[in-house]
Amino acid sequence: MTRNQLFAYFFALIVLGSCETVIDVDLPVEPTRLVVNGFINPDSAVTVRISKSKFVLDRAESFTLVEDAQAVLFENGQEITQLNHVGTGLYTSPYRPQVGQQYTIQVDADGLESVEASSEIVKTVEIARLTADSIRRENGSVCSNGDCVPTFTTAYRFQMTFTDFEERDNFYEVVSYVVVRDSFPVFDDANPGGPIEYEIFTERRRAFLISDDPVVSSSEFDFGDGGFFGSSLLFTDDIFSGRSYTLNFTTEGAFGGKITQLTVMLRTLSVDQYEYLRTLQLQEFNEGDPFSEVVPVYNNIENGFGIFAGYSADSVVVDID
Amino acid sequence: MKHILLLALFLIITGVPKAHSQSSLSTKITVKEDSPTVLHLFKQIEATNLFDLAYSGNYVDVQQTISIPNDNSTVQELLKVTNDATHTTFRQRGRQIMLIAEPSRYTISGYISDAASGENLIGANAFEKTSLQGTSSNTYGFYSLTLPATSDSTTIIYSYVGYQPQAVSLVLTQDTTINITLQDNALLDEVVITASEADKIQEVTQMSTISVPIEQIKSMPAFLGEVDVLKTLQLLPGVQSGNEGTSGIYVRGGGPDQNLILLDGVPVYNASHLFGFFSVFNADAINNVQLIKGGFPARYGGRLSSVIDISMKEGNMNEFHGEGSIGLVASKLTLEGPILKGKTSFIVSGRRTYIDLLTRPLIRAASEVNGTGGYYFYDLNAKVNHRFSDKDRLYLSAYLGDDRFSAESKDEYVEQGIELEDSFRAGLNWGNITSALRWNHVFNNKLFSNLTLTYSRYRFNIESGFTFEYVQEEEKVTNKGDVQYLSGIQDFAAKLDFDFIPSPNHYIRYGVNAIRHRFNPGAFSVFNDDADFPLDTTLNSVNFRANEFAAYVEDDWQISNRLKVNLGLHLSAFDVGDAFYYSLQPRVAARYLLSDKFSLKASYARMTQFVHLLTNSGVGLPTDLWVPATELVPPQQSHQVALGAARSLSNKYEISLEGYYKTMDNVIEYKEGASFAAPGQDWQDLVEIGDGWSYGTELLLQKKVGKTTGWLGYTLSWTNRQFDNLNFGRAFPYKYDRRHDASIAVVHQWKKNREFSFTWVYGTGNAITIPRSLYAAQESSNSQGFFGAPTPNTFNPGEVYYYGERNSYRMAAYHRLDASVTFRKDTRWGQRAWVFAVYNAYSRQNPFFIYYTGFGETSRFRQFSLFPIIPSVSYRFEF
Repeated sequence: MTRNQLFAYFFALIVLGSCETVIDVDLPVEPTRLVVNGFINPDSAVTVRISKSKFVLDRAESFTLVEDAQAVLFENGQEITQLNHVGTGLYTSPYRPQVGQQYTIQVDADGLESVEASSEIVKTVEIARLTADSIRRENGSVCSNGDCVPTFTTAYRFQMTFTDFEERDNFYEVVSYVVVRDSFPVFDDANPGGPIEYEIFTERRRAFLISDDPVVSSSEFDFGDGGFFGSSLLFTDDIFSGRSYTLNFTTEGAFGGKITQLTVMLRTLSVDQYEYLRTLQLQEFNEGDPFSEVVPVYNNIENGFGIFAGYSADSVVVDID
Repeated sequence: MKHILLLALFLIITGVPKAHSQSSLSTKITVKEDSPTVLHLFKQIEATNLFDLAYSGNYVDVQQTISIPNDNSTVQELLKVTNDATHTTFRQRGRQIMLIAEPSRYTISGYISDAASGENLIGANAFEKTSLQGTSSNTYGFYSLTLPATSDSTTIIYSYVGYQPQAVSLVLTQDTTINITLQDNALLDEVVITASEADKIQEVTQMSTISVPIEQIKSMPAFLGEVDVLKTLQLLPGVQSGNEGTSGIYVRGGGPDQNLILLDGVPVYNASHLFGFFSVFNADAINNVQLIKGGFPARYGGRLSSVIDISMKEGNMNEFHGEGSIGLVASKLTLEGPILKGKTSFIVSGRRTYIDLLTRPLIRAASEVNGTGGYYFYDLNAKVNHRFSDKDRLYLSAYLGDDRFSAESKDEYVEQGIELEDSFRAGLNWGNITSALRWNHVFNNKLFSNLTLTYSRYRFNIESGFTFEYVQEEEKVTNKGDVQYLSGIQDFAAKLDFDFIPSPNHYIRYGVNAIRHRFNPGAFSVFNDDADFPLDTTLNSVNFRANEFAAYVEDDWQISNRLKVNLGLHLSAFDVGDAFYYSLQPRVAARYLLSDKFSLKASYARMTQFVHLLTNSGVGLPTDLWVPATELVPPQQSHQVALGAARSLSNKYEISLEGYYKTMDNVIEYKEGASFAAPGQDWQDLVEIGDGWSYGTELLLQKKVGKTTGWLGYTLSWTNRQFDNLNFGRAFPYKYDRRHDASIAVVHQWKKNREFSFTWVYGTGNAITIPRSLYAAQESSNSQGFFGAPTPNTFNPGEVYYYGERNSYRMAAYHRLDASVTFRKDTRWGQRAWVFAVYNAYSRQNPFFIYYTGFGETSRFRQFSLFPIIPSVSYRFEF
């Protein structure tokens, strides 16, 4: 039982006579603002998603996308390109940002205040070495008539070495993707009873990572129950600033299907991206807890909301046979 | 014949031989001036050639003027007048008259106590009738009054609110011990109510101080049958309650950890039961409660915002008595009496709730998993004291209290023919122990001392454990596990205090104290005897040991008839690990009498606090942690200036108006998003350090005597905080920034045995943070499982809440009416009373907290209110 569950139980005990009501909160209507979200990096085209914010008591069921905005990208203060709308609020340009440069985006749309945001593409920290090995982990058992057989899953254990830059504060994210070959059964109504065939497909999925490395567990993301919130590892260079460091981490959970390829990516983040991810995870973690103080999520969009942040990455592909 | 006459004449002219005869003091002299100086007067006496005057310039000021009663006075009368003016007496030998300095003052000292029970009367007045020079008794009932000797009789009046004043007349020719007992008005059939001169509010130098008579506290409407000291203090201006029902105290914009709550001189860290719905103080065992909000005398230190000094009763010295009550939620019993009549007495006081017995069956019925749960708390106060003599008295006291919550569930089933049981239990408990050994010693009639040795311990722990049984190879295997989180604070302290009263114009206090703290802000232990993954670890958060020292000196100095000043200096130091802090705190309070009914007051105090309470800004949970100042987290400091006026109206009412401005430095809050210092985490990394400031005015109208007593209070105040890393560095209102706070408390005795009381409170709502807008989160950042990488053509983002400025929304105003009526009856064994009370008489749904829920069509704000109208009945008895 988490401590919050315990308190909830406790409170339930004493508030037997209490009342809960819906109230009319006298709030001034907040103006709708442009929401711009995009992480840019040298390995992909610049892409942002533009939508509108919603007043907290607005009855609309979803966020409205903006499909008629003008978005312009600047590199080090010079206009570089316009971003074109390609559908569902996505604006893109084939231009790829470069390491070490500053980027600014300006967005205008009818009826909404113009917004602007800046970030930088941070110098890449390369993965010097990555070792991976697979381990079998017992994750339960299957029983039939009292006969139990343990089931196993394959987890991958990594050690990644890299060297931090001394001259600046660095923020890191470690992400892992797998390519799996999986199948799903296809049923035919005309033939009840088993699947008639299996369709095989290949898909890229994100792996869930955990680590008890001190660099990660000493960060704010270790909420004490041994777990780690989020599928990626987020940390700063406080502990190993300027030095070489080897991080230990493993994947968690079952993948389903057969893994043919595994990618580990070390992202060097701008401070904007790090702060955004950190505060967003905190806000999500505390959601529903009336006893915690609210978390304002980091927002670098002037006159608007969202996040426009740069990062650069180095990755290593591990082939699994 | 002629020769004899000549001889006689010769003898007369040359004077009588000194050894054998005296010049007559009845010789009359005509003095030339109306108010001659001593020098001139003596010259004129010597001019008669009958006397030689001898005196020392050390104690006779020859330039001092003497007023002569009439033109033609005898030498004796002239000498008397001179003696009175110069505090001398004279001795005559023949011609020679010698003026001798006499001890100009004599001291009357002793103890003032209640006539029936022998309890010390704290702050009782003793003053000389004509000159109005006086003093008041200290915490132990000791007083000392030094007055100039007069050859006439002097009358001393002893008085105390709620008691019959007493006058004692005596001729003051030597130091005298007078122990006085005063009769409680309530016990008298016919009462002559006189609020004597010295009780008046405007006389007291200590401003920002309110003394609530314990009888008034016991007459307030009770919550669920329990009268509460801290809840009553919340009704005074400048003091606010936090959330509904809780007994957290916020004084002049300060936080709930900034109150020095003293129980017989021992600081209490957590003064609440059940999240603050009840306080740990059993009103039946209390003698006196004093609240100080500003202008703190130098003898107090260690907290910024208030001092709540609670003195417990010592036990009736003369007779065995008891009192108690049986209520809906809790019952209590107090027994007191002499062990050796007049010398040793004891008091034992206990209280326990039985909510658990009431709720257990309800929970069992409602629970799906064969669960049960319960909550109870208890308090126990035990004291014994012994009077060795008028000079020495020893007191031993202890307080024990605990809150316990538990939940259990059990699941029994059969597998493979074997009976198995899984069980789960969870518990939460917290409590205090405080104990003190005090020794009063009177060195002489002007110097009183007290030595106190104390031990106190506060701890809370959360525990959850389980037992799983399963079948393996046809055998039953049991797996037990346990998780425990423990946090606490332990203090050993010694205090030495002196009261030195050289004259009615000076009341000097000085002393030293030392506290050895041991903080344990969170230790976590895990135990699991699983065959495959055994675990037995204890992760300690850092254990802090700290030492705190203080020394002080203060003087209550009557500078002139109109001006009285309390000047003091408090020096404190704190030593923890590698950090050493010290602080010099000047304290000044002054009172100026504009007339005998109207006074002006001003004060300045600097305070330092070496401990912090890490509290979650939601509700005051027992998970609040006491932590020391450390190298990374410095002590809190405050400066407070206050200005006020106080006036007595027609001898019955007292009205005071006070304004204050207070700054607080180094206050702490949890970082945004942190809500609990998890085990293994260092709390120092989870806090932000910032500043606060508050200002306001308080109005209090009080009536302490008569059939109807009570008060009306109103406070208008602002309080803000500023932290560099919270709310983007911008200042924001403190959660408990209550613009208006008003309260009325009235107790009315309408017949001899019928009493009616009500309280009404009003407060502006608390400042909270609520979401203002929602917007889409960046999609690839969401915690994904391992299925579904983000695809550009589907838009299914998470939501981000935007809150705007912190604490920028006010909940609805809080107001509530409580009332109670008491029917007393004398029985042959004592007295009994039925008390009917109602809490929240018009059932207002006061907001407890507000939260946002839903999305789109279902989005709304919900408000949670705690208590609707709650009637209660309790039965009280006294014997």
